[in-house]
Amino acid sequence: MKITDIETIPVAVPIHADRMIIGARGPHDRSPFLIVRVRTDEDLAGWGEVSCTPRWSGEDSETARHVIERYLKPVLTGQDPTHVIRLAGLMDSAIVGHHFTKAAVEMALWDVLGKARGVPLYRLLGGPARPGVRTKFSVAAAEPEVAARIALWACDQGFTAMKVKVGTGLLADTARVAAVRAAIGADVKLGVDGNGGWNLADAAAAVAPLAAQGIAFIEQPVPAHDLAGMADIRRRAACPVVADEAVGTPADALDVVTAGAADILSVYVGMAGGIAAAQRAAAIASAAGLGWTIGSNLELGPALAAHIHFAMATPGLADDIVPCDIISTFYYTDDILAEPLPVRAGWAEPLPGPGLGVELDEEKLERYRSDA
Amino acid sequence: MKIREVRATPVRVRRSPRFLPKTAHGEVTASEYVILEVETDEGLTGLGEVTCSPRWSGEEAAGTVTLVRDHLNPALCGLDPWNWAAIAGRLKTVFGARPFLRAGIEMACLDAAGREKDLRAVDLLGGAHREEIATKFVLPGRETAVVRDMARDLRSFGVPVVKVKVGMGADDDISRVAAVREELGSGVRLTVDANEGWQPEEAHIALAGLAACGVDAVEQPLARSAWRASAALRARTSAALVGDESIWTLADVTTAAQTGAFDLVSIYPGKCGGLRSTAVLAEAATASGLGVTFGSNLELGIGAAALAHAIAAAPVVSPVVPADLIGPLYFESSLITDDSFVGWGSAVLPSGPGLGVELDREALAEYRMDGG
Repeated sequence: MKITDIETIPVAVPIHADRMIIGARGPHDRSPFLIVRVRTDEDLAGWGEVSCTPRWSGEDSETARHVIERYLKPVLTGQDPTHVIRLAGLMDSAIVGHHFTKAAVEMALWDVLGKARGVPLYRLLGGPARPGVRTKFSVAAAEPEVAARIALWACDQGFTAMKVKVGTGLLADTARVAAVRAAIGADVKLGVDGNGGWNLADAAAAVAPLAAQGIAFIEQPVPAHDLAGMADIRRRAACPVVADEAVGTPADALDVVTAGAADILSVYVGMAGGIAAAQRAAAIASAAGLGWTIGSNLELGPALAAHIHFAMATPGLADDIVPCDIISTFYYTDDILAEPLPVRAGWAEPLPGPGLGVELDEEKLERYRSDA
Repeated sequence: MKIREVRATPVRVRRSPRFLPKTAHGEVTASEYVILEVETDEGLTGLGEVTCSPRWSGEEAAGTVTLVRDHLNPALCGLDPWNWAAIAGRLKTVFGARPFLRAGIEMACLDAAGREKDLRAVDLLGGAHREEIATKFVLPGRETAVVRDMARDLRSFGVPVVKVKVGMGADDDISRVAAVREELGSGVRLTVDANEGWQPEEAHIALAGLAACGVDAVEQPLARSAWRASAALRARTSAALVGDESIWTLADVTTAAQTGAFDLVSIYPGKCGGLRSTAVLAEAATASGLGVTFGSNLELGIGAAALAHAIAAAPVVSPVVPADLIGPLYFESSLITDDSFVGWGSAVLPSGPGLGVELDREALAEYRMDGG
């Protein structure tokens, strides 16, 4: 089998304004992402998705499309798509970085491999390590009353675990956390996510008030590069500290482990540069005796499926301590998949088909494509 | 003064065939960079250059142009180029990663501000510590016979320090450097640059062989994250080790100091995200007992001028490893009207306001890639 083409389709699917996630890095009000289709000479095609926002990695759907056309397609056309790891190496030699973009192509290659063998991706990757994935909701850094309303909505949907965005300012953050806790009661697991927005002093000052609210975990309290600061907060807090922005590639995971900067590593396929790299990052966490979980950049169907397969296949997932952020379906007004993923409040499973198990609704793709 | 427009023009300039560069990262016959123009409401325009390279940094021209056009231009209009605090804060909300783009914007703002008040960019950074800059010439990693001819060609220019690209196989590397030593004699100092090209055991063999040629410094012998292996190598060789691909951020300088991986760090505006960031890294390095040298991604005229101002602003520069301020010598055109400030073996700080160079608009028209 040979790769004949890599098609790119920029899309923009609207997000529910009232639930839109606002964090320390700003609002995520639209997702100009890129859908990728790897075509082969054997009537099999693989789906991928660049879930990119320039603020995170300097990639957007235009740069991703261009990098695929100019740098990745030339080295991959004519290659056997089932040689996923070798082809990932070819992509790395063609251009440095652009991890979200490469991850999209890599997940599409896995999709082709799964379809060629008639096997769902989580089995190809060595799973299932578990029957499904526990998930949590994410509450925006809104005014306390608004955040409380969103949190209550999530409880109504059936979520029993959530995190609330902080890192925007200590007073506002503690007021928001208090309002959310008061609204949802003591039995719902509640964590916070600073997105690196606090300095060390504010993060340290936040530990006691957060503990008073029964906060179950603190994600990325200080900036990603401040591993010593993360380790400091980890020593002060009784609850687990989660590294998110600090963890991209396996090398980043190793740095976090070496610095003692976190109890739990939040792994993300796009940040790592692909599912195989994400598995290596998770393996480094596990080897150090640390748990790992999965974050979100509000992926659409293909990347969401990639995360579900990755989670189901890989040992060491600490979704009991920090449930995963597999929740995009609760934020978008529509779905570009022909059949929706079995994602409900608190639990996610893959679709039963081979590879990623997803097919895209061509009519929805046309409706939401942004280059028409 | 307010920014009225930020323009990005992709250019493709052929390398001069005389010294066709080649390194362990590969060979390039032409460079595709981006020229930035920050136009202000007072009619002054600041010049910048994004010295992008897919294989080195992952930044490339077309993606850079779309990011500037679609995201940066709207975000920066109305801001004051003097107010770097505001601009840097705004840049962070627009894109992550991409230090070469950040550097390009910063140098253009320094150029605009300097032009307004008839100040040189170096004066806006605290003043010049030097007007003359010692440089070294770089010979490519090609076959011994070819490099021998180039070295012979170089003899008449009286360059006091020459760097030879290595990292492409210990035996070939030793043969190449020995030939250069033969041609240039004992009066010229030699350094080498492996661009991460050696495995640790190979590096030991190469360094032992190169010691016989009298090599003063070895740049980036191993992979960028191989801190401890580099420290082990350093303990066994008398040559000074220089970190380049390992050193992008302040955290990297700290890691270099703590692991003992290098004797010197190579810094420059592009890789380090701007002239101000470079100054911070220079100070941290000097305070940690690390030497400071200035590297290059082979800049055109505007980038070379920015590099000159960064070098002039540094309190301490290595007396043993001169700067790679040589970019314009390698290209058919440097895209500025007067690039004579870059000589053979030394450079002088341009004397005009801002960066002190002017865009050659005819050359820009000839080399632009976008048919504008």
